[in-house]
Amino acid sequence: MEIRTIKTDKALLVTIKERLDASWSEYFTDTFLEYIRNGEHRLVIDAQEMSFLSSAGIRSLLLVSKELTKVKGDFRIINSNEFVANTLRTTGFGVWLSEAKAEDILPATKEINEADNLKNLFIISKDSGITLKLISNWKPWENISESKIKRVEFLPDSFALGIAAPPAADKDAVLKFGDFVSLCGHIVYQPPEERSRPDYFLPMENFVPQLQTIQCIYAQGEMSHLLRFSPEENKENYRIGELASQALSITGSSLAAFVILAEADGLVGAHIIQSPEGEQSFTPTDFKKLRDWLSFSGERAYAGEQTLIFGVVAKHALGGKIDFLIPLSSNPEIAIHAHTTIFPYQTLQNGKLDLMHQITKFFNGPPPKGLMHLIDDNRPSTGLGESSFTRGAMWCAPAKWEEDNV
Amino acid sequence: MLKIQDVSKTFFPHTVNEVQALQNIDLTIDEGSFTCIIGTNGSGKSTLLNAVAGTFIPDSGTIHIDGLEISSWTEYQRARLIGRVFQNPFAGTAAEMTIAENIVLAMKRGKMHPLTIALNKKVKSEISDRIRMLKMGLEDRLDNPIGTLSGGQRQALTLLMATWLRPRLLLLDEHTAALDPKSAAKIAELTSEIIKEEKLTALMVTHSMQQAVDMPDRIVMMHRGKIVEDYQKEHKKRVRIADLLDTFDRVQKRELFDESVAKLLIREYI
Ligand SMILES: Nc1ncnc2c1ncn2[C@@H]1O[C@H](COP(=O)(O)OP(=O)(O)OP(=O)(O)O)[C@@H](O)[C@H]1O
Ligand SMILES: [Mg+2]
Repeated sequence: MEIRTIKTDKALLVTIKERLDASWSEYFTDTFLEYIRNGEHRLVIDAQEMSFLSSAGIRSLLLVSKELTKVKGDFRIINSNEFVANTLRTTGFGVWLSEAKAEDILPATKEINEADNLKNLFIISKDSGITLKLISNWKPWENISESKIKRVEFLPDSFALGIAAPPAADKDAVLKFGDFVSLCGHIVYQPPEERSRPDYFLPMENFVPQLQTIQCIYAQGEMSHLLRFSPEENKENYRIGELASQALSITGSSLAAFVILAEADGLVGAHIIQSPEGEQSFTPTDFKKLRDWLSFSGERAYAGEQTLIFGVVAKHALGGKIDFLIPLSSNPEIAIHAHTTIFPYQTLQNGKLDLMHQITKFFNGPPPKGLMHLIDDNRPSTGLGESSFTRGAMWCAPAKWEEDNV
Repeated sequence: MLKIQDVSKTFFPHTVNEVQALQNIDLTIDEGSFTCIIGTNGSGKSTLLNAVAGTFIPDSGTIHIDGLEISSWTEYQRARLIGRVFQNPFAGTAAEMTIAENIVLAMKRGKMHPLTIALNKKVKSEISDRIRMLKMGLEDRLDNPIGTLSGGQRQALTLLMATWLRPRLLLLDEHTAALDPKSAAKIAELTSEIIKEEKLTALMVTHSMQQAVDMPDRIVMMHRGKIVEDYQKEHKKRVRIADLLDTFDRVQKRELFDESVAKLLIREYI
């Protein structure tokens, strides 16, 4: 088999030569899934020179077509010879066959055509904004008195990050505090045992997930803008600092909240691996001890996986609650606090995306693989740098602090 | 059954080449249990087995088998209690001797005053009965020199010889690592079979995550001369290869957590 591609502004035209059979089907599937991953959601196969198509080959075509359906893409086969056309018709896949000529590959529907013309920035709701509350304000490694612990309900229109423990069944039970992120009432929490995978809590009909927080930035409201980004010439990835700055300029604000859903290029971060307790005997002076408390990613982790971030960014000059936002060393003008969870990769649809829909989709799929507090690793020479992303979406909104808290 | 307490061993102490191969190892192995030891290269797995077998005397700590303090016994004295199989299929056997002669040697092992065992009909038929269970057709080749066998066949025989006298403890050090994948799988299967059938207590070093997940009832992970993880009972049963790889990852990450990382996190993590 031989595969050749031509990219037009309408679609990716893929010419398949020779056999698409069991011995080539896996290679074919992988190649096509990679096209889809790269944002090619309109695929046209030129099958004039396809000499043979077996059931294994049809299965591959079906896989590709299903993957495209998930992202509202389009899949067609043109120029097929009698043999290929017959095989597809008799097996019930005649719908893939198209009379179009390679020269005039047209988008399937008008709707897609419109989506194509849209810019990368979408206004969701111009007047939306986010109200931020610092609900609890523990800092490592202070003592945790009873009054430091605040129980929080995570409503469907909220986003939050911080350090918390799931409510215990028994009120005398020891609370296990670990990092968490919450998006539209969906929580991912990293239990502070090193071995554990993250745990998660989903809202149900009569159930609003809750946590006992010791550090919690709580955001409530609706996102105003959506920015889509993908690799461009001379730009292979997007650093978190760049995206956060964009959030400020898009919203024209000096304080903004953002959610990023993107394919990770590399994530750098840390999370708590030992629950802080009431009486802290530990002060982080000795690194050999600190590593019993925090785990550091140690590399640019989770490349190719889907990362789901909630963060808050402020112009550094802002002051005030800035002490829970950390100045970015690569751009000290801004200060950020962001937590991410990581899901196995799933292709995102191009164009405008609905945040709630995406969050429910990911939380109802395979479980989250990790959770971390993102860190800008600016160590001289050995530093891993900032977390960065290949392609994805960022929702953002201007934010303001609500006065009466803590 | 086996009790290793606070055992340490440093090679080339006080030199630039100093290696702390074992650092205060504590490990108790139950009668009839099968434990796999995994870990990165040079983590001390072989050194731990050597300490048990008596290849050297540890710098400190004690080793008990069946409540007997064997720390000061010689390797030869311990051979009465311990059967061993190494990575190299050519290690445990004498190439120019026949299969039958090699097995007779194994039958005498560790005995202070070995009775002369005549290779008569009766002994030979006993040998071929047991070799038959290897299902390798070797029972018909008892008089062939061992040197004519393949690595896999040889390792199967070595395993049979090491367990011939039902040792109190079986030590296996990557005994499938030098074999082709098919032979390795066959020897792994045979190992599980013999350990189960003879109800042996076994310690096996392996680099194969698959073997570690499939074969034993306990997995001990070593790193830099220390035991860093110990999967037992339900924890062992639920463990998958991905978990073991995660654990390796975590152990290595911890290593990268140096003073510069600590400073970074003190500044950046709130
Ligand atoms: N006899 C010896 N003399 C000097 N150093 C030794 C000796 N035996 C082992 N070492 C050193 O002790 C450390 C542990 O070695 P050991 O062979 O136990 O590792 P291992 O875990 O079995 O590794 P591998 O997976 O490579 O077999 C290594 O750094 C090794 O070089
Ligand atoms: Mg070794």
